[in-house]
Amino acid sequence: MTTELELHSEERFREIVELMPAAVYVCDMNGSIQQFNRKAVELWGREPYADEDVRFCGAIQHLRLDGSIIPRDELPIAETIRNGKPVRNQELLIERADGSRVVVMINVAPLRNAEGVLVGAINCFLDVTDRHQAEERLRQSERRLAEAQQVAHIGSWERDLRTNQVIWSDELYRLFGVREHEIDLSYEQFLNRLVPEEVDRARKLVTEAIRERRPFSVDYRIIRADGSIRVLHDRGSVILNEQGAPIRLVGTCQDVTERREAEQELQRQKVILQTIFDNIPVMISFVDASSRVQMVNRHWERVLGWSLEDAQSRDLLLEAYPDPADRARVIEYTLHPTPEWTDFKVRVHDGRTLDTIWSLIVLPDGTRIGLGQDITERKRAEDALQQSEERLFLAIHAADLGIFENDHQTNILYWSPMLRAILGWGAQEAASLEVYFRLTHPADRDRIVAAVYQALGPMSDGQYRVEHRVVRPDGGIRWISVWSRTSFEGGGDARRPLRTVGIVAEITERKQAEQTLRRGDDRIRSIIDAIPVMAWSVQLDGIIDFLNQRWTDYAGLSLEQYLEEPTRPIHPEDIPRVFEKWRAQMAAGEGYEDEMRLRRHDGQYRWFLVRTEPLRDEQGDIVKWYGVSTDIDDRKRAEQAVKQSQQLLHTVLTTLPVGVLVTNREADVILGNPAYKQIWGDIIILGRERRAQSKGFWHDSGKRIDSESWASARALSQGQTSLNELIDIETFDGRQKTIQNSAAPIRNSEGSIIGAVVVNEDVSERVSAESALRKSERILREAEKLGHTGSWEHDLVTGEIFNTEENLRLFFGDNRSKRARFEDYVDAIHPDDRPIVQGRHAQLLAEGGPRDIEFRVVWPDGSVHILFGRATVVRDDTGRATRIYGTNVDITERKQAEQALQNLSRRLLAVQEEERRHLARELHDEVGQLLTGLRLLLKPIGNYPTEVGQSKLEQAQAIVDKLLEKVRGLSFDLRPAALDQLGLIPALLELVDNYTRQTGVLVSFKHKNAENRFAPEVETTAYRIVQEALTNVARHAGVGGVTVRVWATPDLLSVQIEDRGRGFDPEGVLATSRSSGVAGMRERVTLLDGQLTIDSRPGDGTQITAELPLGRSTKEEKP
Amino acid sequence: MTISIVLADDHPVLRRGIRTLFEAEPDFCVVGEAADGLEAIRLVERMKPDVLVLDLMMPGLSGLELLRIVPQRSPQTRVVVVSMHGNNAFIAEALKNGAIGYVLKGCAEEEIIKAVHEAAAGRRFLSPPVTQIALDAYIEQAKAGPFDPHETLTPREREVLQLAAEGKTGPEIAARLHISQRTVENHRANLMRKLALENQSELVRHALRHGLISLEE
Repeated sequence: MTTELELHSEERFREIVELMPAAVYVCDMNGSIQQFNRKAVELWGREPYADEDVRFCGAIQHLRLDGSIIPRDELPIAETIRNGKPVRNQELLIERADGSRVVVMINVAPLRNAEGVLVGAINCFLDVTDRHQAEERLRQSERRLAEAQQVAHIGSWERDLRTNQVIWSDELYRLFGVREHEIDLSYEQFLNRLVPEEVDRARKLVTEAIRERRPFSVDYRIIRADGSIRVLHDRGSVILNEQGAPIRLVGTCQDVTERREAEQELQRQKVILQTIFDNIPVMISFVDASSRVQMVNRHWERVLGWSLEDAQSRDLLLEAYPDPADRARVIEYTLHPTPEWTDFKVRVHDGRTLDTIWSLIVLPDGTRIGLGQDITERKRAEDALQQSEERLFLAIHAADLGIFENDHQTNILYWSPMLRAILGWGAQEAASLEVYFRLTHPADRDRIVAAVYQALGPMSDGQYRVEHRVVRPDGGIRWISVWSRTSFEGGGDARRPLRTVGIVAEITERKQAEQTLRRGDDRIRSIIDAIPVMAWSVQLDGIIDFLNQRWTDYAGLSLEQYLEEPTRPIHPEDIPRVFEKWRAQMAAGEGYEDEMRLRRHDGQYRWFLVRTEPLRDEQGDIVKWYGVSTDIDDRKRAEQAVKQSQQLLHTVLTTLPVGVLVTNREADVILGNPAYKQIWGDIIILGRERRAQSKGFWHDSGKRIDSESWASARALSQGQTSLNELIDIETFDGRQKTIQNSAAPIRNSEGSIIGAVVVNEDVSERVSAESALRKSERILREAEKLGHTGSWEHDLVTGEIFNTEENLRLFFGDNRSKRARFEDYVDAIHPDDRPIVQGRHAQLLAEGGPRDIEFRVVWPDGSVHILFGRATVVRDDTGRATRIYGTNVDITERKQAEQALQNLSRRLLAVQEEERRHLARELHDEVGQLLTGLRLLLKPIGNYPTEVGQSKLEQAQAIVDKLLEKVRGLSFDLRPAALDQLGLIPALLELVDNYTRQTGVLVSFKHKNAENRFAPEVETTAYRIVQEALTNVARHAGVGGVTVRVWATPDLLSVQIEDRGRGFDPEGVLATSRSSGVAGMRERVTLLDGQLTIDSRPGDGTQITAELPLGRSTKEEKP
Repeated sequence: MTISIVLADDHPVLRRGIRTLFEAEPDFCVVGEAADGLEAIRLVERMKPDVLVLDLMMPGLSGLELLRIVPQRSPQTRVVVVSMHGNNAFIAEALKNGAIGYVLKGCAEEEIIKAVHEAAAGRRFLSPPVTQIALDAYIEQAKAGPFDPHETLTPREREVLQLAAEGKTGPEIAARLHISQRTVENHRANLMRKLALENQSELVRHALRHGLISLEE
């Protein structure tokens, strides 16, 4: 059968076995090696033809894993040849020709011929030394892990995803405060130990991690068996099987309660700061040492009109201070800042110029905090603003970036302090491209040099973005990420780089994290890496015999280096204290715990908590010391940050010009700044008592504010943010003030209210000024109303029109719908006057024409009013008109009075002329004729005989009598002497007498209490009215009788003329201006402020009554 | 017996005319002439004439004024007024103030001489056409008449008074008279003023007194 084997398949068999990665050989029934492949020769380290015994195997010697020797006859293949049974996966050691040993795993199969008779055996074996060693290391690691965990209070766990069974390390039991037998180890049991509200979150997070097959890290609170609550930091990894399905979770737990508390306190401080920052009506900006604006608050943005992005991307200095002198002053102030408030005129985004005051605080790290107030518009308070946590984070993150700038023309390279810190390059040492290349890790150098020259080359788009390692002068290796952009001048071959600006971020931790992830398949490594502690052990003689990877990574020292100088990583200041304590504890055989600073590979010191525990044998003797160092730098930093933050808060609050008070949930005062104390009279009363004792009244209603209505109370109870409520207060020292009161709740990261910030601004002076202003405005308004004067202002820049109420009334009457637009005013102007007004307006703007104008306006109700306007143009320094200010007066009544006066005098003239014409006619026609006749009679009288002369004389005497009669009548018509000499009643009696004689109309004249004298104008008026009325009766009434009544009371003289004649329509008569008789009566009466009543209807008689006031007249008798 | 006379007239022509006239009378003796009222009163005081012939219209003190003063300064002096004004008002006024005679300028010369003689004898003289009857009628007329303010009301005011006295309200009156309520209020205010009434009860009393309403209703 062997023959057959050889005959049929020997060649093919050879080919196959030569190709196999495993070592293969065949033995016959005697154990002599018949065939073998090259791999077998490699493992044996020789050809199996040596003189020595090579039965069953080509190796020099064979051992079991425990080191005992296996005789060749007892080798597995010898067994198989004896009993025909195969051997599977058996491991043993073989000693090779050069004496080295390897672990092999063997598989032996019997060889039979066609008849099934055993003819030999074949052995396949593999070198499994590496795996074997790894398993050995694992066992060691596990042991050390357990020891380390115990010392560092870190527990580890493992969860079988199929059974949900959980394995805990001893330390984890201790963390939960339970003994091993007290807890049923299942995942659900673990969840029961969590604070109930965190169960869902923890479960969800872990489920997601399993689904996505990624490591996770989570904080949760647990309830220990003794009821206390601790915060655990849990990191876990998912272990997959060969098919990539999750089968197990492994992880570690660390008690981070203290650190979290410190972090929370820091967070709380941040929230308080942020709340203040967002709510105070003060502009705040944070500018870092390199003059980059890190953060500005919303008030800053609102007042100045620029956003944070503007502040970061534009040169606002130039825009905000266009005047070079102002700008120089600002720069000078920035270089030598003072916390004193300093005035600056700022031109803001929309072009307005504001008066502002600024105070600059410089923090030890070079950050400048600018506090600013807009004193131009102090009245307006700021809305509460929300700055997102993310932006804060980004700003802080951004500050860790290094910056460089390369001016290619001068070859000056600038590296920012942060960049120098990243590269470990001293502040004073020169920076150059060569230095950059030199610092670049040798393995990356070629690539980087090529990339730099490519970015600066003529074909470049100017972008440069690389990630590479640098080797710092102190030997530390860092990963950095570099972004830069180069600007060029010229084109083609002549294209030359001008300037390169770039930023550098350190990404070492990210790279390490990436590498850690890459190693994630190794369960052991993942656990070890997951331990956030450095572990080590020391022999009794003080020689350190173990340092974990984290330790060597951290210190950047190998075990050998460390052994040379064990104190090297410890901060020199800490060494004496640490060693004294360490020796004392060692001598006492006790565990040891201390905090100290340990130097990192990059030279930076971080705080660690170092713990050691003795390891004892069964007799209780110490055989070794184990130690762990836990990085507590974050906690230390958090504590320091809390302190710094408190200090910052204090500095800001002390400087703020507004009162700020911070209370906790119970309304106890935690913090109050000096401005607050000043407002309330230097006394701050704590707790709820404060509100009960604070006397406040709503400014609008004057009602007392009860303790639950204060803005701070509402902030705490309802989470309400109140802004700028105007309140009158009585301070604790008894003064009256008006304040603007704002309050906002402070929330923790879960959103629940943990306190309130109250902001008070003393606005007493402003309010009293405003009240005075309102008063003066009211007086102006009343004055304008009384004087029918309105004023207006037209802002030519904004187009805004300001009008006093009275001016609106002048233009639109009581209609309130129109007033808003400039066109409304134009529309109101009488169409005929519009060109004049507009022409004058343009003229006024151009060169300042006449300031006065008269024009008509048509009210919405259609009535026309005449306005007298006067305007002034206000111009800026360049002569550009910015505003027009003007006043208007309604002169309609004056105009009408003027018109009436004109009408009156015109009629007066007409009447006068008529009287003269009448007199002239009388004198000429009557008197003149009579005198002429008289002359003719008398001239020749001496020539006549006596009797004829006598007759002529008698004729002449008759003519003279007629003349006398005529002149007397003329005189009476013109002005009855009786009126002046005797008074109203005698004059009227004479009038009535003459009237009856001339017209035949009988007059019934009645008078009462009117016999005394009255003021001449009153008597004249009464007389003329009676005269006119009687004339009308004779002309129009068509009656034979009329009644005249005259009577007086102490206040009034009344005359009344009544007839039963035809009557007339008074309205119609008055409407026709020709009837000057009635109109004349009315005018006379009006002149004396009297009242004329005409009661008449056609066919129903007429009754005219004139009532003349006697107020001003005296009843003196006039001669 | 001689009658001593003082002439007071601001017109020299007229004065000379009268003097010429008087000098023709044997028992007339003109003891002084005055051109204005003040001069006249001084002369009367010094000369204490029997008769003062006085023009009513003079500068300085007017004739009427002079009339009132003369009896105090010279009780025996009688005054004859010579005037252009022939109407009863002046005559009545002059007589009321103490003149004993009244002669119109332009009447016959003998009238004035007669008036002086009569005056000196203490008798009244009025030159024609003035008669005592007309004068009495005038004087009667010039006295304040028995005149009731009620008659000064217009017909409309009487209607409003009637309705208001009956207790109607403004709107009711307006509806009844078909005029606006505002007009009603005007009428009401006017009539209250004319009748010097202060309030509604006085208005009702007035209406009762005039029989506009009665208590029986």
